[in-house]
Amino acid sequence: MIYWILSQIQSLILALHSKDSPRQIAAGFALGSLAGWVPFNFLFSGFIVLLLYLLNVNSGFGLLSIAILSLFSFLLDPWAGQLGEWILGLPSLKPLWILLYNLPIFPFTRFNNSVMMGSLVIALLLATPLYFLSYWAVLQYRARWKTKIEQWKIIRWAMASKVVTLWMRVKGNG
Amino acid sequence: MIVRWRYIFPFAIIVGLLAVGVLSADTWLRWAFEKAGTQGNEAKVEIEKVHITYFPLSLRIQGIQVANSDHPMRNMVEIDTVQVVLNTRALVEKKVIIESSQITGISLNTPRKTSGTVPGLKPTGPSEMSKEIRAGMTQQLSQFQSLVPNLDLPKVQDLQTTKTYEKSKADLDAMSKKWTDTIQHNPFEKELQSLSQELAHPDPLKVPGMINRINALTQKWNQLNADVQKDMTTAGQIPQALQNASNTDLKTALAPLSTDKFKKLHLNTSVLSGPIQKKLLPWLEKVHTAMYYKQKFASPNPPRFHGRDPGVTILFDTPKHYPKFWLKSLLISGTGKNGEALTGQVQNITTDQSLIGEPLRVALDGQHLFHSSTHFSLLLTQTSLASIKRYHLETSLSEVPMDPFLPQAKPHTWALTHGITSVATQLTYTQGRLESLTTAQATQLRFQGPALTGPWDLNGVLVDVLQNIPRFELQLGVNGPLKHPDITVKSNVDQALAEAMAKASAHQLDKARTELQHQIDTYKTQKQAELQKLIDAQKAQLTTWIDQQQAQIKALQTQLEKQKSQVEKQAQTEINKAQKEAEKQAGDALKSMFKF
Repeated sequence: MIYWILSQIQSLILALHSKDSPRQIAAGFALGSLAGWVPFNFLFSGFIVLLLYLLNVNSGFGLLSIAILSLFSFLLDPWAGQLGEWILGLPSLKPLWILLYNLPIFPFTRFNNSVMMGSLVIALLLATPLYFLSYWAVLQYRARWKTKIEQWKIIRWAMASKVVTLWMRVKGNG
Repeated sequence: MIVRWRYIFPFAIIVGLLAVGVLSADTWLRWAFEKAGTQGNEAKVEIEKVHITYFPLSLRIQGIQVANSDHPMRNMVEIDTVQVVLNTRALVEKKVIIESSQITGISLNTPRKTSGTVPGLKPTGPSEMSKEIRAGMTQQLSQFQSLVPNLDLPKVQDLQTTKTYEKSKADLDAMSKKWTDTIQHNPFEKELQSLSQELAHPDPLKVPGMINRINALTQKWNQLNADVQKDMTTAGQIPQALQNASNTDLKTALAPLSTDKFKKLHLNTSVLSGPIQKKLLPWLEKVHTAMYYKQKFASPNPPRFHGRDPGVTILFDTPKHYPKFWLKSLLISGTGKNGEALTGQVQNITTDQSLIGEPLRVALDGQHLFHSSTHFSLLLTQTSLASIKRYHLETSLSEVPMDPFLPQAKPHTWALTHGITSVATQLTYTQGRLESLTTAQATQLRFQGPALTGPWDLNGVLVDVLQNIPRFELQLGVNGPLKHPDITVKSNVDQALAEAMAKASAHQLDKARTELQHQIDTYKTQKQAELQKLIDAQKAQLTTWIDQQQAQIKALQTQLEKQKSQVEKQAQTEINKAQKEAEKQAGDALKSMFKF
C-alpha cells in the first residue's frame, strides 16, 4: 500500500516533469474532479476511475483530484443539497427521474439523493473551468518552476528510483 | 489517441470472461443443483434444463426428478417446472421479494427409466427421531399452544373506552336536546318582541319600567350563559375521560402479556425438549447481553465516514418499500395417484403485512385425495384494516355427482372453535348436475372473527419461527401407496425449531404489545374524534344563538338609552317652556297689578 502511494506521488512528480501534454494532465484532473465532488458511490466513482485508466488522460492527477476534492467537497453540501432538491423537483424533469428510478441498475447511483444530484451538477459545471485552470497551472509550472524544482534532492531521488526508471521506460522517456 | 488500448484489451478480456460466466450460468447452475441435490438425497437428482434471466431476475428449472434412495427405479418426486421470479433491486437491498413462483406438475412415486443409485454412494437409510425428543416436543408444543387462547382481548363492548364513549355520547345527546329545546322555545323572544313594539311607539311614562324589564332580561340571559358555560366545561372534560378509560383498557388488555406469562412462555420454549435447554439458555443469555450493550452504547448520532450531508432522498413513483421477505405468489400444481388435478396458490407471505397492505391468501383447488368425486376449494384471507385484524375463511365444497339422477340437496351445519376465534360454519352438500353446482347451488362456508381477535398472530409466529431457524437438516421419505404412506423422518429440526421459537415468541409478545396499544389508541382516537365533532357542533350552534340574542338585547338597550335621553330632553324642554310660561304669566299679573 505504502509502495503504491509512493509510486503515485512519484508518478505525479514525473507527470509534471514528463512529456505528458498539459492537456492530458488537465483532462485527468477535470475527469477526476467529477468523482471528487460527489459523495462516494461505488457505481459512479468506479466508473470515473475506470475512465481514468481507459482514456488517454493522466490518471495520477485524476486520482489526486479525487483525493483533494473529496476532502473539501462537504463544504458544498448545503448548496448542493438545495440545488439537487430543486432539480429533482422540477416537474419537467420528473418523467425522466421516474424512468431512471425504475431502471434496473441506475437507482444504485443514488441520483435521487439531493446532495448527490446537486454535487454532480456542480461537478459538471466546474469541470471545464478546472480543466482550463489546471492546464494553465501546468504550463506556468513548466515555464517558471520546473527547472528549479528539478534541482531539489528529493525530486532527483524520486526521478532516479527504480520505479521511475521503469515508468520512464514504459512512457518512452528513459 | 483518446483511448489507451493497452488497458482496453485486458479490460475486454475480463468483461468477456464475466460475460461467458453469465451466459453459461444455465449449464453450471444445472450442474450445481444436480450435484448438491444428489449429495443431499443420496440418490440421483436430475434436471432437464435450467434457465436464468437477469432482467427481471428469474430462474426456471424444468424436468426435475428426485430418485428414491430406497427404491432406485422409482422417483420420490417428479416436478415439471419450478419457476421463481425475483425482484433484482430488492435483492441488492438484502430483501427477498419473490414476484411470482410456480411449482407445476408435481407427481409422487413415479417410475424411472434408469436406476437412481449413485455409484460409490451407499444410502444410509432414514432413521426416526429419538423418542425422548419427540415426547418433549409433543408435550411442550401443546403447552405452548395452550397459551394462545388466553391472550384474547376484552370484547369491544366491555372496553372502558366504549362505556365512557356511550355515556359521554348520551350526555351530549341530552345536552343537545336541552339546548335545541331552549333555542326553539326562545325564552327571550316574547319579551324582546314586546319591548321592540313598545319602543316603536314610545310612551315616555313607560320608559323607566322598560329599563327595569330590560335589566331583568339581561340578568336572565347572564344566568343562561353561565349554564351554557357549565355544560361546555363538562363537554370539554370528555376527551380526558376517554383517555383515562383507554389507559385502563390498555392495562387490562396487556395483563395477559404480563411478566409471568412472558416467563412462562420462555420457560415453555426453553424446555421444549431436554437437550435443547442446554443450548437455549446460554443463547438467550448471549442475546440479552448483546441487547444490553447495544442499548448502552448506542449513539443517537453515529459518526459518518465522510462527514457529508446525508441530503434528502426523493422517492419517485415505484413500489420501492419492501418488507424483508415477501412471496407475492406461489402456484403449486400436481396430480394425485389417480391422475386427479390439484392446484394451490399462496399469495403474500411476508414479514410485514401492514407494509404491503395486502392480505395473505391461500387457495386450494382440486379433487379430494381420498374421494375423487369431491371437488374441494379453500380460500383463506387475512386482512388488516387499520390495525384491527380480521380472519376470514371462505370454503366452498361441492360434490361432483357420481350419479346425476340423485335429486336433493343435503345441508349440514356445525360450529368449529379455533384458538383465536369462534367460528360458525355452514356446509351444504348438493347432489345434482355439475354445472349447477358451480354456479347457483355451490356450497359456501364462511366465518369471520370478531373485530378484535386478539394480539396473537399465528401467521406471524409461523413466519418468525421459520425465518429464525438458523440451519437444520431434514430428510423426508415417503413410500408406499398414498392411502397408507410409509413416512420416515430424519432431522434435527426440533432443535432448530426450539431456538427459533424462543426468538419468535419474544418478538410476537413485543409485537402483540405494540399492536394492542395501537388498536386501543386508534379506537380511542376514533371515538374521541366522533365526540369532539358533536361537541364542536353543539358549541357552534350555541355560540351563534347566544351571539344573536346578545346582539338583540344590546340593540334594544341602545335604542332604549336613546329613547330615554330623548324623553329626558323633551321633558326638560317642556319644563323650561312651562317655567317661561309661568314667569310670563306672573309678569303679566304683576304688570296688571301695577296698572291698578
